[in-house]
Amino acid sequence: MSLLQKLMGTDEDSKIKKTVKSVFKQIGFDVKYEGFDEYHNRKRLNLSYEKDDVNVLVGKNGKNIMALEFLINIMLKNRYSLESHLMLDVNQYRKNKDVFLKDIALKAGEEVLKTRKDVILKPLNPYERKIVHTTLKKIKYVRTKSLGKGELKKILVSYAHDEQGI
Amino acid sequence: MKENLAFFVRELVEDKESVCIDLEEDRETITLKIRLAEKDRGAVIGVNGKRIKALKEVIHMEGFKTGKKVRLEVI
Repeated sequence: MSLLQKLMGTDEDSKIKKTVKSVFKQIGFDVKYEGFDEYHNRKRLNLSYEKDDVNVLVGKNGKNIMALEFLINIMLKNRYSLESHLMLDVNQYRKNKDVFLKDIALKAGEEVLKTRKDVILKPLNPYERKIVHTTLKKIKYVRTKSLGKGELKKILVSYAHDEQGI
Repeated sequence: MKENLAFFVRELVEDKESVCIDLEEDRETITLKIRLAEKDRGAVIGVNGKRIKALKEVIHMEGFKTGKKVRLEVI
């Protein structure tokens, strides 16, 4: 990409930034941009916000920031035909949440291996479940299964007599 | 609140001119009625109502401060 193109703002990052900026300007949250990184093949835009109403921006279990992310991805598709599947993170909330979920998953796995009894985790959204499933996939003799219907499902962690966890 | 909703709805639809938001308020609830072109209903509601749910969450962020319930309706 040429320097001119970059200055004109035609590359993907500046399109994303422009869209995200227009959204936060509209809803009146003065966020700072900390730059992009990569997360599981998804582009992640890190934001920081230091005011007291940061909990409103993130929402319960991150639902507000995820709703914004969902709408921003549609906007990117409509405006620029970008299928970027962007992820938004505020004050490293989701990074920390990943660590927390991995921890919960590993603790459940350990308990299952120790007691050979099933452990059921609290209802999680699809993104959170993916983290738990992929974390426990690497562990032998442990299998995971989602229970229930709808957006939020519990995860059953159980002992597998097969090494592969089948 | 009306302006924010109009901003997001206009981003989702094809016929941006037809978008019009009416706000009705009583003691407990704020109802936002979205008027739009017939062909754009799907673009605002989404599969299994996924888009309208996301819009609701975002509008709630603001409604939360008023202490009232916020309802969205597509007309």
